[in-house]
Amino acid sequence: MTLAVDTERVVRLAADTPAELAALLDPGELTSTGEGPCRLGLVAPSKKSLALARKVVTKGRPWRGRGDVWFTPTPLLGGTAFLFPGLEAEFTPAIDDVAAWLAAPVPQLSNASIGRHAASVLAVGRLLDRALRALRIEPDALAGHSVGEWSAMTAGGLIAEPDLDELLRRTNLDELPFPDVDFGVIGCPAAPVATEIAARPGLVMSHQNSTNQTVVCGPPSEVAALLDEFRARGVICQVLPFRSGFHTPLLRPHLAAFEAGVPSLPVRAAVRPVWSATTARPFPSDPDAVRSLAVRHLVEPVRFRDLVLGLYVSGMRMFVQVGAGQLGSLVGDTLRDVEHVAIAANSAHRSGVAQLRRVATAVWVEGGDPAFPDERPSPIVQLSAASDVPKLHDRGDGPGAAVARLEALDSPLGADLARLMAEVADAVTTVLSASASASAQPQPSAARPQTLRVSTRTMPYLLDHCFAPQRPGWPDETDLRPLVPAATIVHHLMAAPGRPAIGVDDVALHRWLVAAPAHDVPVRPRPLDTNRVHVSLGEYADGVVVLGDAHPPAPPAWAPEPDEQAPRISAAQLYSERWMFHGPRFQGVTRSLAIAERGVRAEITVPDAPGALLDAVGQVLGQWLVERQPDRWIAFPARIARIRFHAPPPSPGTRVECAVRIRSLAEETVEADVQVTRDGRPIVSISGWQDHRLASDPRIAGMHRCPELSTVSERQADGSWLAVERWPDLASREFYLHKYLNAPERAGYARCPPRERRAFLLRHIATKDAARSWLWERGAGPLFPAELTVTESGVTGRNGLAVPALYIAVEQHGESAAAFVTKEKQ
Amino acid sequence: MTTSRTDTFDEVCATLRDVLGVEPDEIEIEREMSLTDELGLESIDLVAVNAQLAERFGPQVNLAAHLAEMDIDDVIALTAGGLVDFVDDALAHDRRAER
Repeated sequence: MTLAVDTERVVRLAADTPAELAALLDPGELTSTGEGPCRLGLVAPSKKSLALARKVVTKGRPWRGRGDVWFTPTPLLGGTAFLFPGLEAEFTPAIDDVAAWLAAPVPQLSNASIGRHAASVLAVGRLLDRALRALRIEPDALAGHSVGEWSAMTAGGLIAEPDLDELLRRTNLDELPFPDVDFGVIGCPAAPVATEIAARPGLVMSHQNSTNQTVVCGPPSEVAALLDEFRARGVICQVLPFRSGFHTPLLRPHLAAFEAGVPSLPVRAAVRPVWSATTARPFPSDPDAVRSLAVRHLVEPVRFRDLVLGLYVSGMRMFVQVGAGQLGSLVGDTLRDVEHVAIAANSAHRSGVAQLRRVATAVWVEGGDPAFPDERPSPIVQLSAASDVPKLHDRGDGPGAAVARLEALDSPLGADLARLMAEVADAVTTVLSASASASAQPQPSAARPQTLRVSTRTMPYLLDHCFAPQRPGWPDETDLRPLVPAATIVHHLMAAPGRPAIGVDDVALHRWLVAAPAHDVPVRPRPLDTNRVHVSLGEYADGVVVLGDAHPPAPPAWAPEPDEQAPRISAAQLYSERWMFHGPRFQGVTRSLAIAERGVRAEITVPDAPGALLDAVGQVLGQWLVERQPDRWIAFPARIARIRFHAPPPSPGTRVECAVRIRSLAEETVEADVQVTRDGRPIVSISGWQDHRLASDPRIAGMHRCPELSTVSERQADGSWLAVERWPDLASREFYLHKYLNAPERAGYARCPPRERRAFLLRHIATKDAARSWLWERGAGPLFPAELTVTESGVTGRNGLAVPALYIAVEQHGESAAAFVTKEKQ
Repeated sequence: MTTSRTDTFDEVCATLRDVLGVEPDEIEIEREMSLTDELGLESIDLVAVNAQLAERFGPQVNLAAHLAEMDIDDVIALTAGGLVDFVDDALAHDRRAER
């Protein structure tokens, strides 16, 4: 038999260092050569790809597949996961030549009905799984998306191939009953989708695919309406061209037909770990539990993002998509900030064998030893238990080192992954000791959404938590910018389930929650299992509340840092010198105790306001920044990985001690762990408290501390006031914008085309600084920028401020604006 | 203020490179290049392209709404130049609407 296999040249170069590798790329005959960890692979090398290869080798950073070039300075150490796609909008696999290469029958493919489409996807997955194994590319873990999970179960040994074949033979694939519901793919994270569908009872979330992709399911008209809503906000959406209602309760009326499918098959012992996308954990070992999970898979959401994160923390680094489609891009989206390889074993862009050649090249570059399809297929060996198989690559260090690497990541993903690492370790332990049946697992129940009124009427203490202080009695509350503190948000998250909570995990603060003007925020608790409830506060924040009647035991109290010194700033000075902007109801720090290179301690007297204890914890971290990072000290909480209460929260007036340890510091973020102790015993443990840092050199920080006495602009020799942009990031710009612009001016800013906003702000800053300094020189007292409104030719006073008529000329040059008071108007 | 097409092209290229994670000397982008076949963008990458375009040019540049009007083959065939034209049209339309 003649194999209809195309051939392409693959050049493989290896060396000990990128420099040595670069030498191998010198002009001349290019042939595979060399040994070493630093590897370059080129498929069908061309002038263009060689030029690219020289560039990436010179830079010495990994390059994974674009332009048919693969390069790594050091191999990515870790396991290989096989991921089997499910049904996708496009289904154009290229497998005829793969079947020919394997001398296997070509599967009959069709997507004429959902049943046939699914059977075709299974057949393609099985063929490619065989092909990969023929290339000596083997999985350390297997998982699938939607019906791809059945492929994973079969390839991993949980289900015998003949059993699945027999099931497919006796099933009438064209007559399967499905609800008449659409899937809508939404290009954004799950949280905003959850918020939006809370008020739409017809819709459910069916897939959390990746960081930026979520799928909903429901009646076509309701799905269309929701997608219109998201499109209007600039979110990319698509309705899938098939209707199944899989992975949602909408399938329940037809469940019997599907329970008679895969869940009915005999369960075998897995030869490699097979992961469930329903739990984002390995399948349990007990056959009844496996069957039960196979049923849940039909009616519960696909948690593909969590699955990918779980696989990553369990050590998988190479993700091979065993099928056609775009599953690999979901991996790329989820693991955007961490090193990994995602590669498809099949592509619509080239022949099946040509794509396998690229997979083999990618595996070789990362230190593997695959066969290449231009060689004869290796005899296919049945997968044996994982321990018998030599690892492609083994870093050889334990989970501790992996955790340290994750924690060192300067990315929110790092905290996500570190948390998951602990959970996966738990899950593995659970699987090993599993005897309980999965039927004992709790079914999430629908929880009642609530509403939180956010206003200074309902939360009067917020008047002591305003980002833009104004003159006493200032009538426009929106100029004050009262904000709900992160700690108060945590308080509301923990209160939402209405049951005793012992902590909260993975708190993410997405947006400022401003209390003026007043508004309602939906609070949506969603049970995850018996003791964990995901709670979202609109689009502003979310977290996972951990319930429990008993507080977890306290760890040992930390010893003081060895290099402690007396703090430079006392607790009273923190507030009187306005290093902290907090008013009396949030002034919880009552004694600054000690400060060190990587730590700080203080006494907190618990204030009355909800969440004020944890807010004061944030201020203690703030003091460390003030003293140790004076050029960039302003920071606000962005994420908190884990909070545990080891005792009931202390009542107001209680004195506690707070110790903060700095875990990592970067330009944009600072991350810390915290212990709050009472009488020497820890009552609260916090890990992964992450603050976002804002531009705050001493001049602009003065604007934060005392806006009524400070200017961002500098006086020039000619008497003009020059404002230059001192904040490179948008978050910092927004922060200072509120110090300068009053409500009508902010409306003007919002109407500006985005590219003109920077200039608009600088013009207002320079004008107001020029006017205020002119007034100060003539005896005016403290003046907040919002008390002035910038006009065409000068400024006017606002809310009762009398200002002489001034002409102010402004000269604007790109990144700066200079304002000059020319004369008093007559 | 008007934007020349060169400016838009440069900004669009910068966006595409950023999403692809490549530097200017590594991938040369030409107007005729298709986003999916030649540049290797996946559909999920369009989410990032969409967000970056809105950030660079303002919310009137709504790629999501534009894509909603296209059929799947047109989306697959979209070129870098096509993306530039779309941005220019959206900006021009917005300026007309302001008058």
